[in-house]
Amino acid sequence: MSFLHDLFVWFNDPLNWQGENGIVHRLIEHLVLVGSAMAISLVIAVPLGVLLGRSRRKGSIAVNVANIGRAIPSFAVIALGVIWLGIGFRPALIAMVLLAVPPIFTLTFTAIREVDSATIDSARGMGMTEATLLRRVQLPIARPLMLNGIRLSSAAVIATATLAALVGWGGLGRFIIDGFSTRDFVEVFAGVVLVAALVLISEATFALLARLTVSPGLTDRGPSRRERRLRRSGVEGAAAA
Amino acid sequence: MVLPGSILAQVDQPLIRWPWIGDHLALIGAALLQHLMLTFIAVGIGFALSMVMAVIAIRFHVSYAPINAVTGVMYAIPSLALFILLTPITGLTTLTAEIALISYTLQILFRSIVAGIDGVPAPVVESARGMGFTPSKRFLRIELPLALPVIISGLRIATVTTVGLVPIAGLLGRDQGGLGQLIFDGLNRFFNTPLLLGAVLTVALAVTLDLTLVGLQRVLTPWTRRGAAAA
Amino acid sequence: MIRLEHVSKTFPGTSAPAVGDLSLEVDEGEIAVFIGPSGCGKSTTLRMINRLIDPTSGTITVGGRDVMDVKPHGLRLGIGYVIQQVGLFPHRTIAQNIATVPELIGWPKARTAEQVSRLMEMVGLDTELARRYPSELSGGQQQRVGVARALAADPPVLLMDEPFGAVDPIVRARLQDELIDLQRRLCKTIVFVTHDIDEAIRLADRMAVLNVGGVVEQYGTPVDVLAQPANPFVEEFLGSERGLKRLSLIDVRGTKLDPGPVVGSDTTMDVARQVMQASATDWVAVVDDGHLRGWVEASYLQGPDRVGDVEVRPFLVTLRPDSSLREALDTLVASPTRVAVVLDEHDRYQGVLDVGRIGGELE
Repeated sequence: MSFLHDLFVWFNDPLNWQGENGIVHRLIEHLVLVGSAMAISLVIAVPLGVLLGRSRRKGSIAVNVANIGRAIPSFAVIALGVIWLGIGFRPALIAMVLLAVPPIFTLTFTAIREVDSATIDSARGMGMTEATLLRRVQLPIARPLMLNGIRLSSAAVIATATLAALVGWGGLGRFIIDGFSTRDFVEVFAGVVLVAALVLISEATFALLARLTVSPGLTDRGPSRRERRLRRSGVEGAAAA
Repeated sequence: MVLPGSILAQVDQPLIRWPWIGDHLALIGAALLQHLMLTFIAVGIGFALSMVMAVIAIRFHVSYAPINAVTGVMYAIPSLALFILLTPITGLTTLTAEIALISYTLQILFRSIVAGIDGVPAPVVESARGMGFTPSKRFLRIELPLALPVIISGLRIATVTTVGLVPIAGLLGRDQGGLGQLIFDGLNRFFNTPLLLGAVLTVALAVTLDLTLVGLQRVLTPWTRRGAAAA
Repeated sequence: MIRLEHVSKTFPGTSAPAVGDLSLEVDEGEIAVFIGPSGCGKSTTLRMINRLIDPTSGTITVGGRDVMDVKPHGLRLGIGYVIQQVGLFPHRTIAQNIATVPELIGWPKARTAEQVSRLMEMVGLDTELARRYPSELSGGQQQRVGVARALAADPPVLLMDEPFGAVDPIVRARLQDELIDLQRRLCKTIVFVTHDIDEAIRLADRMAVLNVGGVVEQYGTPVDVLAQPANPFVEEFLGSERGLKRLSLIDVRGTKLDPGPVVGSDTTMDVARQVMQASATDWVAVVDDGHLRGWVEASYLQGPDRVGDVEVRPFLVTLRPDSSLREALDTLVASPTRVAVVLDEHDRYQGVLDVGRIGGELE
């Protein structure tokens, strides 16, 4: 209980909010890193995913490359980035972009590719140009899965951006690192709370975005998990009863 | 160990000093071995725990949501913080590193085991039941093998993630974190050679273990290979 | 309306052409059905008409215009297209789906809305469904939306690629009836692809029987094709019940009826027996002032009474002039009199049909 109390005190201390080491400044640093990484990743991954998803044959190689990309450890990338670019913002940015691109690319690619071919055939048959087809049929149908990829990337980048504190960039990771070096675990935990809050805000934002922009016709009206399980075990109609 | 925010980039030095590597082979070997041990123990224990939780979740459906939520929260804590937050309790020890690493594997492994078993086609389960398999035999001889491809793909992600997280445990002390020892040494001294070596070996280890597991899956589930060839 | 001249299509990477050298014409306002085994190129041919596939050689004209002279999407805007999997847009409501082409060609909103509700009514969809999404509809309902969507901008030509192939037989029969009914009112030029011979016979004004490689084995009205298959391939494709299938296409109206053994209620038994013997039957029909009362068995025609005094049994099933000979056959085999009775629109007795007369029609 006293730990929670200390945490409360920490957050209530105006000194912890101001200045170069304050929450506001560290939060802005964190958001700059996350925002730049996400913006760059979107510019790279979305067009690439759409382009390869639309071409019928190519693309599986790209997905395999993206999967290997998922295997590359962020911390090792940051370390390599330091050798190349020195410490600070840039190695962290590169690592965050490498972290964010694979989920966005893979899910965009999959989402575009999995649009029902009959839907596309009938859209073309009704006289849609390729641009109209993409804008009015493929992208709206792919949107929920694409948003999901961006959401996953965003959460991962927000949490992993704390590593930037190890190579001389600020951000919320500083509270964790600085707290550790002074054995001030209240400060460490405060850092965790701030990161978690940011992740939650990101999740909520994407949930809201999905609700606002995804057609209700695409939301899952399928049987619930429970019903599926019941059917699997052969208890037909039990869900209806 | 903590770097001030405004240090200049490293002074001119070669990308790699080969003599240093020659002089420190024993250290490098030990770091690599530690990295492997930390990874195997974490994934091994994580897998055992996840299997138990998956069996519980499949047997008692209500438990799925809470288990998923708890492992999800563990997975969501920034890795940097998880290592540090445990130190007041378990100290700057390997135990601290292992607990953190294990807790990262749980969500991935638990979900992939459940998804794999859930994805076994109902008719197969039905016919096994019809042939008189007991529930435990059915689980071991039918459901588990058929779920292997999904489970192994979960193992791949868990393993690769763990390999990537081990170096962060180097925060806990000079002799911790496997190849992370080299990376932190390099960062602290602005010395490229161990930094590069630690990072490259970590990436190489992740890719190697990933490919090993792909190979393992091909050996263990020959039926998926044949299916792919027919398609 | 649609004219294919020496059309061929060879897909890249294949040696044998999917469609070899196909020439065929579809007149304005008729339903032309392409039928044949899988791999006969019937879908390929259909998709060449709206340029979803471009022909390797040959000419296709729609309404006198060479399709290769028009931009593909412009061409398609003027041609309705319905496919088996329907291909509704899952993210758009039923009304939005139907409004697709009017929106693409820039109809005013009010006109589009009016057209949508008119079409939903026309294809038998409850207008309450307008705001639903495709996933909430049954297969039959989805296909109705597909047809409405294809008709939305009132195109003169409709291409239908096995549109009813994925629904169950009962719904399929209903959709076929509705299409016939719709066509009576709209008079579109329709090209319809199917592999179901009964569907082809039912819908076609003319049917083209295709063989592998897009070879037209025979092109003609269903009656002609059934009566005179051009070659053994067509004969085998039509199947063993060719005669029965033909009967379903011939109206009772076109057949000469037998007057049958007819007496009035006040006819004496003696006269009734003479009528019966003259027609070599064991029953007589009782008709008063042109209205059929029923029939009387031979064993009742005894004694001094008149026919109306004994038990007159009704005919359980009677036919109309627009009934098919197939129905006549079904009726007579189930009847104890071994004939099918035909009445006109005003229930006036016209005569009877027996097996001999129906058989005569097949010769």
